[in-house]
Amino acid sequence: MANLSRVLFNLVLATAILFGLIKILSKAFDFVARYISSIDKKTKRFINIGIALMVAIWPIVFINQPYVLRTSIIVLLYIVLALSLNIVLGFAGQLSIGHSAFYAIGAYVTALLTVNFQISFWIALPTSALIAALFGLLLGIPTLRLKGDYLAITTIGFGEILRLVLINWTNLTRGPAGIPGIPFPKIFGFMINTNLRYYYLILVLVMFTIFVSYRLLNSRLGRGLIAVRDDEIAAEAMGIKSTYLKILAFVLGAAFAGIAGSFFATYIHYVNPDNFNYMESVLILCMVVLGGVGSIPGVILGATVLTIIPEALRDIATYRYAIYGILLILMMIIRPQGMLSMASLKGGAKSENSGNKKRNKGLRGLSGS
Amino acid sequence: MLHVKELDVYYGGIHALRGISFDIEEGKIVTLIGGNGAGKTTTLRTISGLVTPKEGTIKFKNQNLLKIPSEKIVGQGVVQVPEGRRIFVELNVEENLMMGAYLRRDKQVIDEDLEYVYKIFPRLKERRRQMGGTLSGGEQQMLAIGRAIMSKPRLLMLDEPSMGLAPIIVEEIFECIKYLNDNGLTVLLVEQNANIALQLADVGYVIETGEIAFSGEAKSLLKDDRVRKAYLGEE
Repeated sequence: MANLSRVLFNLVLATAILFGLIKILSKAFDFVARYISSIDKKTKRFINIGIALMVAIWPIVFINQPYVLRTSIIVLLYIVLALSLNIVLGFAGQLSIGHSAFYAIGAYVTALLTVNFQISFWIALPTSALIAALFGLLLGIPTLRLKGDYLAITTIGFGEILRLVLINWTNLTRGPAGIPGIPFPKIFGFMINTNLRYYYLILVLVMFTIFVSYRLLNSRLGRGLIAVRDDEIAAEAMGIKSTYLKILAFVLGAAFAGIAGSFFATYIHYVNPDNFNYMESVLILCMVVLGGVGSIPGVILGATVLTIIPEALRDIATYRYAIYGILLILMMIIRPQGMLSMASLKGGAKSENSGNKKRNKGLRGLSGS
Repeated sequence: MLHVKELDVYYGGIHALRGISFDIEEGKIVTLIGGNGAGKTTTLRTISGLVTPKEGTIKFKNQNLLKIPSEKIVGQGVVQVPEGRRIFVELNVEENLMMGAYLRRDKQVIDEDLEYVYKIFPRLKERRRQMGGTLSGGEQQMLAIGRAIMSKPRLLMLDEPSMGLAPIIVEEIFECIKYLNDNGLTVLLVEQNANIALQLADVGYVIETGEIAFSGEAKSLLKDDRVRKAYLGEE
């Protein structure tokens, strides 16, 4: 009994501290968002180059600390995953909770191709993306006529079915035993076999994902997607083919998840169905929602924070996941629009009107009318 | 220009439109007036291709609109300003307007049309970088109309543009509609506010429980006893 009350006391204390912390951070995020939306193009470019340089030098500074390097690589991997879900959830507004399925497809395709057929990673990577995209298309065509909660349930179903197939199709996937021995990627005799090299490989993939996300967001297609998310009826009244756009977003999201899976397989050298369970999908979803649905800097921040926090909390082992959970709950109560929301980055949060409306809507609002 | 004949629409078991027929001549403003649930919005949605009728024909310039999907109908120049404005709150004013030109590729003409919209609604130009959701109701309605104009309509269909707006703003909006019409745009106006709609329109159709109850010159409908009683609230 005494033990229980001590645990409860500690949790209440943690909740209070976190509450205050998030309140303060919330103000800080508002400030950052206001700053980002107010700076001009030149300063923005300067800051971007600064960040890019920092990210590039980062592993060289920590070259003798494998733990830091490994964590950084995982952070970057989750950035790709979160950005890929962001295309579906953030741009097109489709709530997909089966995203780890595409991640799994990418990983297994790479594993099977490189282990069974000795095919080079550089061919396996685009193949993984393609096959994941194909599954995205197959799932997207029938399900994207559904909305919100219904779509979410179907995507959960897809994720579970795929996991069960991976477990039970033992001839191909070796079932729960997984596929070990995935080789290091090689390019022109240059082997990617150290953490440092893997870091730069995933960094290139991250850059590619960010680039595509930005180009998509600022294109005619991207505006079309946001229009469909904002108001499907109005979008159709403008002559936008909403189903086509939604499927396109789904396929693109799946392709990038496939790329992430491919990298995961070659980095860990081992895949097994447990890596791609339902919690993985939820984790990716949390990153997107916590960071700010639709906002690219927000999603990057969300992926970073949610990967680092469990690592940083290792010292208080027992309370680790409790605090993680409390953090997510508090965050959704205090700041449901995410750390750096799309609206605030575009300067819209200044207005009472739109800000509040979006804030109250949260995830529900995304599920469409 | 647009000929609607014997339109029958069902929502499940509910018979929403019971053989609606009307015609719109080029260059005119035609108004459909009627109470809640009469079938005004359904009629518009059917013309836009968002609802499929069970029976009937819709012909636009001798082309059967029922045979083509909704995005192609917009391409034909039949454009709807949906009820309740429905602007995109997360896009700024200019992006919202550009959404109207989504199907067009003629970049240069698009820019000219953008200037045209800004000329009609100078207030939109002042707020071109502001997010759609931060506009007032009247400005949102202007934006919705401007967005429709960006898709180069030949027939503009407005669904209750006066809804939820202050009378003075309604007047401003209707003056803009008049201006557009004077510049050669054909307008189909759906309104509950029968008084202001009939003052503006050339021809009026009164729609009741899914049927055209009666129709005529807008000016004469304004004096019609049935209209005065039912829609203008006079004894």
